Amino acid sequence: MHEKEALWIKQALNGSDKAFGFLVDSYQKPVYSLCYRMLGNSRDAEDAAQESFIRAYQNLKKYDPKRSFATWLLSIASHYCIDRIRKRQLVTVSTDVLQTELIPDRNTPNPERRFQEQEHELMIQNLMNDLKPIDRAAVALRYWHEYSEVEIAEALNLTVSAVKSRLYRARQTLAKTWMDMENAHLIGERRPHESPAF
Amino acid sequence: MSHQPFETWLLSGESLNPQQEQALDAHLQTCKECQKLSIALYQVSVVLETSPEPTPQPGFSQRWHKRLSVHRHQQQQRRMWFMTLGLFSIAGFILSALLILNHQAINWVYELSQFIANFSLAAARVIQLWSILQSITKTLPILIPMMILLGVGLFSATTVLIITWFRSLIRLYKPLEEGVSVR
Repeated sequence: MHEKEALWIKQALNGSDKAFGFLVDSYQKPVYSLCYRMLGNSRDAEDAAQESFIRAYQNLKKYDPKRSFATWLLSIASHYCIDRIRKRQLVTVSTDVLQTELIPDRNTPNPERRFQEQEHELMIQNLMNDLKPIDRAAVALRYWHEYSEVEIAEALNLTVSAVKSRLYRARQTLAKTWMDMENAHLIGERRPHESPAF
Repeated sequence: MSHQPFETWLLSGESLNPQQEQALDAHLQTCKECQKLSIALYQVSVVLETSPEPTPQPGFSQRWHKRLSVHRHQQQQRRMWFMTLGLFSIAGFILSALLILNHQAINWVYELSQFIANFSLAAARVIQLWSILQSITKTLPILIPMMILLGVGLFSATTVLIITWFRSLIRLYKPLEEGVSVR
């Protein structure tokens, strides 16, 4: 573990908000990214990431310094997101949020590129929406955080064989969704500079 | 046509040895379904791996600090409510228990007569005290200012004590300042 990180954890354990703030600064990106990939929109991702850090701070006493702090944090975030998805009992992303996020801002320097990025995001969310919450967490940790199956098992409190079978099932679902999207012509091959309206 | 073990190899995501790779390539040449699956898996992995990392809006940690203080304040309020509710519940429980325990032992006629007797005695004492005070004021008028002074002094001391008590209560329920742990 990084020396500074160990020091911040020690200070945070003694009640220093500032020290934990440094940890928030260091890990905000991976935690937010995981929440975003699991929940599918920036509003929920921000809320979940903030809440995950609050929970981590409250349960810092339970953290085992022998384990990786990043894995421990991502474990809290993924469990929180899994609960949240289960609570709303809706694996799909709110269409309102996506529609709003898909309209490029007129003041954006490159609206065409921005639109393509958002289309790419929508494609990812369509793929992720068909996965069960735990499978979604496993895929996010595997593809975006490059975690090994052992690390995923540690983060999600599963056995390695359970992770393997979940990833197997997830790939099967992802491939099927992709093929369905292709058949429904949702994956268009637009030429560069072509207006998204056509 | 059997898709095994090729489908499992494709979906497991594990690396294959050269012989397995050769066998898989040969199968993909002839099996359209496995070919489609292989292409779809490849395209999905490209889409997932090439997507930019989502980043939070600037000022994430400042928002976190704010959220932490709000969270603490709510926690403090919740704790205060639970404490108050707990105290009331305990008091209610004790009173109910006492009432239940003494319900049959109470002789209501006796208790009522005792109350009337005590009330009459207290009234008689007040009248007696009033007559003593009257006699004092008649005989010793110089004592009045001293009594007033004593009364004012006692009243001021009581007021100061009450204010101090309330101030300590307010300080007890006041939200914690930043940097002070709740744990």
